[in-house]
Amino acid sequence: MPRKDKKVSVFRTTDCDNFKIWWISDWYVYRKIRQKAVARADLQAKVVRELDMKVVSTNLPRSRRHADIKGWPDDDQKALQFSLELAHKSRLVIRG
Amino acid sequence: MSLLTTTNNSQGIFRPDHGRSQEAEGLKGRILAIFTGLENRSISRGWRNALRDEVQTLHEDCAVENWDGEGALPITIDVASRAKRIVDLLPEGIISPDVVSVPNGQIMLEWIGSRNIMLNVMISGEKAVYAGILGRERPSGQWTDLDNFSNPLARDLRAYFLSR
Repeated sequence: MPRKDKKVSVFRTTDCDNFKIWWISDWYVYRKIRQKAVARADLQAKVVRELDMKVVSTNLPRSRRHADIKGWPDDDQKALQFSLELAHKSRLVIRG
Repeated sequence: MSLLTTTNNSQGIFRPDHGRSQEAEGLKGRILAIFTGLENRSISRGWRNALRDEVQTLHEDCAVENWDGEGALPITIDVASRAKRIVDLLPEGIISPDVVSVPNGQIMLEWIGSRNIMLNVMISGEKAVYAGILGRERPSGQWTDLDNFSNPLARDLRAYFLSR
């Protein structure tokens, strides 16, 4: 589900292997919130577009891969439906 | 029925398989039937209390702003109270849900049967909304009268998440 700013934070990982994806997680996420990710959901951008939402690059410094999923509906019911669809079409990867 | 006993100089496992009264056998049978019945009913009174405790713990852990380190809104006592009320109204005989905190200050009850069978109820201070993926079906809805449970939701929970 999106936060109050109606955005969901993601990282583009098209050309990354599993090791590099976890490295990105540790470098950008762990350093910020001091909690190591134990799992992730891999998702294709087209799934987001099929729901009429967008993946928008944030151009953060030293983080060309970071993007936000934007365009979430204002209605809670619809937003919950969308989040379930994203979960349904994503692949769960548990950290080994 | 077995009785373990030891003596000072020797050990013995004393199993009085012989000589048990009919009354004792009857009592044993009735106790087994009660325990079997409780195991088969996941949402029994004990489970409701356990779920309510989970909601309370979640509220206490997430009662402050930024509880996730990324600007999450706090889960208020209002939201926690409504979540407990919904737990009280869950239909009997279904699998117990996972209780999850949401960064926008809401509480989520999640039932996941498989990749294609899942149902979520999201509870805020004013209302509850639900959405699901049940095979090809995509049920969703909301209700504000939290003294009653949504009938379509109860039907789906009984159909897809019945405790075995």
